[in-house]
Amino acid sequence: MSRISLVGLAVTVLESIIMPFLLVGILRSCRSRLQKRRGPRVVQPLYDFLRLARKQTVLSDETGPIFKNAPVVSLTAYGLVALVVPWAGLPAPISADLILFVFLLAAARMATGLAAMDTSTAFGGMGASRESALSIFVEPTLVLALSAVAIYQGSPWLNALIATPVSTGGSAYVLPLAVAAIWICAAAETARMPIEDPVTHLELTMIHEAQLLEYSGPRLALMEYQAGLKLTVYYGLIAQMLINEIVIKTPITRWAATTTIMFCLVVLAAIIDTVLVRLHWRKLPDLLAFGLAFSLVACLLAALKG
Amino acid sequence: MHLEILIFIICTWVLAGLVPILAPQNKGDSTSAALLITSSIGIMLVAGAAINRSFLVTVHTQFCLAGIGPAFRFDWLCGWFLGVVAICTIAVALYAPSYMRHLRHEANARIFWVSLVILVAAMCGVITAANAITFVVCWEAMAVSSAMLVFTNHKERTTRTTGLIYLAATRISTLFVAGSFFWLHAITHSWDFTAWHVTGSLAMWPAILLVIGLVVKAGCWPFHLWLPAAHPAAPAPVSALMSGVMVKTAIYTLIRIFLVDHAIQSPVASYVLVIFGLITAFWGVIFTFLQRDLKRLLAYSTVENVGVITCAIGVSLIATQMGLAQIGMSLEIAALFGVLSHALFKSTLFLAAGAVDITADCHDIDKLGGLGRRMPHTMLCTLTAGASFCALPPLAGFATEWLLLHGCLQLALASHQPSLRMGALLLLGWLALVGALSMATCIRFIGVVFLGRARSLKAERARECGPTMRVGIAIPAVLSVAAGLLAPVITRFLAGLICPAHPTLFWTLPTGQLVILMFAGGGIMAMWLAYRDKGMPLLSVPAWACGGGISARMQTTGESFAQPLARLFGAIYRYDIEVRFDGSNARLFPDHIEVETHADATMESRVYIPLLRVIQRIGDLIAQLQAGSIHAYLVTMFATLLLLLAAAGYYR
Amino acid sequence: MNTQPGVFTGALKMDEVPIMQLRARLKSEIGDGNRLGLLTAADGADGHQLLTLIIQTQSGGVSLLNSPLPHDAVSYASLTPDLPQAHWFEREIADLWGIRPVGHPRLKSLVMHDSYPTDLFPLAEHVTAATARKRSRRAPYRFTVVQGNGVFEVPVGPVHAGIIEPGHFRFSCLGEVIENLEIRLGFVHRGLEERLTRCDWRMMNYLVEAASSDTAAANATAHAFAMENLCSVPAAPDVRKMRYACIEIERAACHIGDLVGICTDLGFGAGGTAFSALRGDVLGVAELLTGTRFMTSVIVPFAHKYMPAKPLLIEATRRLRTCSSQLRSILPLLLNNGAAIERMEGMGDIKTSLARDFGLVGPAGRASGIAYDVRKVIAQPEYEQVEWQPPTYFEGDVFARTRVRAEEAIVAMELAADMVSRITSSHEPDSSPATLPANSVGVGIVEAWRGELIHLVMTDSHGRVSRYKIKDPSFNNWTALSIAVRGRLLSDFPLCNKSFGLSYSGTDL
Repeated sequence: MSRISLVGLAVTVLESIIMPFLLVGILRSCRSRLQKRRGPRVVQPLYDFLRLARKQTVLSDETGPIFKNAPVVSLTAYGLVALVVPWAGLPAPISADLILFVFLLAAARMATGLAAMDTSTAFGGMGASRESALSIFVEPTLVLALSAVAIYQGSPWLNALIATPVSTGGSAYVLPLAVAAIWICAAAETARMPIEDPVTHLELTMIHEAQLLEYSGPRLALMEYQAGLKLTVYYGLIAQMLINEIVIKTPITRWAATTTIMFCLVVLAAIIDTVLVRLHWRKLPDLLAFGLAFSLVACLLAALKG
Repeated sequence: MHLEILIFIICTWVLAGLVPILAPQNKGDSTSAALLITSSIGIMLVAGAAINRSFLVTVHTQFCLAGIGPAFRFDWLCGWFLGVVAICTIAVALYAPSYMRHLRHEANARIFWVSLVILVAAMCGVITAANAITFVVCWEAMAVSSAMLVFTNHKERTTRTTGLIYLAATRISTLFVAGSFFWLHAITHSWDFTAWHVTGSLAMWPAILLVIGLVVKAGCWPFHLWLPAAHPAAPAPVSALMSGVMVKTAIYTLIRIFLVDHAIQSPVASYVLVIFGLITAFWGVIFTFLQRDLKRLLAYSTVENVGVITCAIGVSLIATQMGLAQIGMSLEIAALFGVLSHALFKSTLFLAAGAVDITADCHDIDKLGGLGRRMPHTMLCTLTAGASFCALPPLAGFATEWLLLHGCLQLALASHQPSLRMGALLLLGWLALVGALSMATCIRFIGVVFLGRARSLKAERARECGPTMRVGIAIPAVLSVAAGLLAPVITRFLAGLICPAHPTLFWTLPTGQLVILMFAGGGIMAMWLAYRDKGMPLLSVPAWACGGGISARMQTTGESFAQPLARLFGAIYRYDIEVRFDGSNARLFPDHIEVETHADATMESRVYIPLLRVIQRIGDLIAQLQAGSIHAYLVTMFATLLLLLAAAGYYR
Repeated sequence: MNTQPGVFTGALKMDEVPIMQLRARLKSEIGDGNRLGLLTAADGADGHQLLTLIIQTQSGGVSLLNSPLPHDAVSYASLTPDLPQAHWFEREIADLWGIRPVGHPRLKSLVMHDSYPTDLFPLAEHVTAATARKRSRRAPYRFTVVQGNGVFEVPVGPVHAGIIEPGHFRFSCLGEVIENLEIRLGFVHRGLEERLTRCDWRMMNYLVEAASSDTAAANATAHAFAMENLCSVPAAPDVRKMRYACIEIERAACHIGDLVGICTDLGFGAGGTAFSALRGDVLGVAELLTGTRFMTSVIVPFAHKYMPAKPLLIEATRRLRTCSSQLRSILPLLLNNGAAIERMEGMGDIKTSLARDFGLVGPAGRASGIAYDVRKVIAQPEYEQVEWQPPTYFEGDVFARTRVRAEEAIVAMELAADMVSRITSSHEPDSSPATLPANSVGVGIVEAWRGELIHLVMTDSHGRVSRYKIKDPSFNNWTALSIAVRGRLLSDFPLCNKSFGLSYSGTDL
């Protein structure tokens, strides 16, 4: 392993520990400020994690082994995702393609969905059903958008996002379209507006959150951290695509640019969370279909190159 | 050496078939199963030998058809498929004796065992057949024996109907396959597969006939009907064998004729395969999602998997035709690996479904629930198989899906035509959609059947099945984990077999690193949780009952889980929810509210039933001629005579 | 015998209608366009009697019908088959008095939960803990079971995720679609009506304010009018203005509060913040005028506890006008927001005919085309100084209810400003009598922010309060909520619920 990749590994691991808390903290803080409230400190998510990690786990006696072990499975999947996607602006420690990325996400989704079914509650099953319904849009969109990028970059490997400044002469619109598609996927996956209200306490309207209602203590801590990690990876991925056009020479500038863009994206997410109205459940397919359409157009443009 | 093993296998088959006939009723089951397992081990040996070095076995006999005697060829492709047959047969043979004991009153075990042995033998025959005549004979034996197995539970009326549907499907399949073979014979004047090399415009029609015949057998859309009809009726081991292996014989033939022997080279056929595959995969999965019957659900999911594999074969052909041999080969490996992984997880799923069916005596998923608590072993195996079905890393299903999708991506990258690039990208998106749907299906299936609370008394009384059945369920599940973890090795091995000259590395994912990291990361977290749980024991409290009693109704059902997606694809199913309010004042104070969901197997109601009706009407018309009236006969004869005379006069 | 509880004209007399004729009489009254105000039971001369309050929408008067039940009779022919809006009243009577309406289509317990004995009727007799414990246990409450394969139930509450009152919602769903919703209340039934008969009548205002604490001003006002009606002592004009101003401020604050809730349920953070800030301003005006933000303990019968000085009144008027214009300026955030409208339009609609059948009141009724408003029907000179109309829509959906609320909040602030500006005196003498008249009855009706609120007070031969009945506006509207969400999606329920904005404690008396 070269020195760059060792440093990359260290930075990625370190960042994947810090960034989820930081990004979620900034997001919450910004949202509060935008709503003229003081809001929690930026480091509050970390304190929450530590508080939850110290607590005793309370379980309903209707839950089974899947529920108990799902946080480990899904967080492992997300941990691997964080290691195969070059989200931090540095080459990912493990070289993989978009297909592994998407199927790791699917593994986490399956673990969470089954855990929700294992709670024997109406809300759990409802959440799993809703999440499954959304995933049939998210997964193809993600695959298509990332494939378009892969064609544009000329390589199926995700690390190509970092390595090659664009030279294939494809349409300049591929990346922006893919970014738009992935942004919509990210909104669906990380429970953001206008798909899901991240601050709601109403179980009936929850999608992703409804699956986690029964968790407590360290397991809830893992699930919350996982949500942060998901946000981080998605925004990091989007940041890579955004700065792809700009030729950045050194890894340090690239890392700095990525981090800055991630913070900007989080602020943007906070603004969207504040000003948008949550869509009706039956209108969600329309929005997600937009994402699908963006990714299809991106594919078309990528396919037409050369 | 090979011959000795072959003779040994045949002897064990004969014995396995004879024992149940000669032994008193239901006494020969275990012996027969043991013999079947022994023969399967023999098959594995033969498979190993065939992979190592191919050989030909010709039987010199008086009984020749069209002047051609039975001949069997053993090469690496046969070896691969024989291995799959052997693994599934072992699992099924371990499982079947206890299972059949539960069916004692409904089924004739003798016929079951004899048919099972014939089916296994016939499948081996189809796989190893060296010429078309041998192939068709074995194909027929396979069809008839599997039909007998579907009829096992023949005392039920539905079984008889579905058995007939299955028979009809196999007839059609044989018709097309035989038609294609005759055509090819007419072109090449040979029955030998190796002698066929048909290309150009000449190849198109036999290719299409063959593809149709094979996809009927494989259960592709729109000929998939027999699968969901036959599986719920057949006993679980039969379903496992039919779904896990028998439909694969059609896949085998496709690979054999189109990919390995290049017997027919027709670009049209490859596109037909891709289109059939894509529609089939989608159609299968959206109907899987809606099913309430455990085995019908799995049958539809087989339709989906077959679609994916067919699609892989088609894309592989296209890539090869485009001159991208590397990609074509990687997709061929995807198809071969897909056959293995599907056989493994589908056997587990069907055997587990059978275990649920006999211990809970129920196959309506909305009446099951909470079985995981009572059947933990079955649930674990189902979960593993389900994860493989959803193509989750690091299981066998993932290896298949990764090879296929990565192959498509590589195809899009490597090809120079924008249309092909776009086609490959669309294929990726489509397969991702199918993948997402199949995961929704899997969460629904496992969640509703094994998790939650029991929805009926029967489900509450279910108990874990016996040890041999458990082993039978576990073998394919364990193997599908192993196959997934060993995917890099297996793919390299397959690549070496396909193209010994240039063995290339197709598995480019760093699986080793990923697996180590997975176990390390997961292990650390699990240990941390275990440490936390030890320090502060888990507090298990009664579920919050909302101030009243909690009931099994307060959890999602299969029907409800499916509703959002069913509505989305409503046009295909003609999905509809009907609500009826009854009572003296139904508008304001209904006494009785009833909800009913309607969904339609559109192919059946829109195409097949009208078609059958037309055939029925034609049949009725013809039957009128034979109504027994002497006058009618006389008139018919007279008219025929006149017509013949007129015709003779005209041509002279 | 008619009387106008708003503008006091004299003692209210009861009209005796035999129980056999009650059904026909009510049918014709309602057919004439009059309103069933309330239906309850009381102790009569010989056994129980049913009391019916009818509000004449044309003349603006009320008539009180009493229908004595035969001695020892514990049942009568239910009125609900002809008069669907009586269904909760009859269930309540059955629970609290043990009088069974025969032929009621939905006879289940309304407020008496499973833990109470079967034959405990708290208002019909004096109950001690010792006697209650001995009796037989009640059969468990049965929720309506929706038949059909795949239907599942979602139980929600009585303890909710937010800080709201206890109520249990049992959704029977097929997937996302709600096929039936059954609402169960009564989790904190406090025995308030019984308690009111046992306390000093001078202290009653503290208790009635707690009937539904977000409607404290309206409850206190209705109570004050009822007591004044009972004693035939009219309130001074400035006191009345002050009371009405309080009700209007309460209306504005609560409607704006519910707009916050609607924004929150839409996930519209920016809107929620804007309305929430404005609600604080309106409550600030309330504090200025009464010394408390929720206007408790100042509205009392026969007087007003705290009349603010002139400068305060001027300041309050100014602030109310500012709030009103502010509301006008921020309303487009919600009402002109395309995405928000898309969520609200056509959602949870109640047709006018259904609203009429169930006798919907308040904003929910006005959104469904029922223009009934106590402030217009019962002549109240304070309300006639300014030209205003209660907003009425016919769609009956969430959007209509939201618009009604928003427009009412604006009107309420203007009315309040007008009334406050007309108050002249800073001190009103207490005109309370030494004792209450014997064998009398008094009624107070006001338009609380949720709609028609009725207080009925009766005295016995010793001049003690023998029966006190409060009819909260929510009592009429709860059923509508469960019908509004039928066939809708589960995720739409919170929004529908918030658009009705009903009170749990108002029914859990």
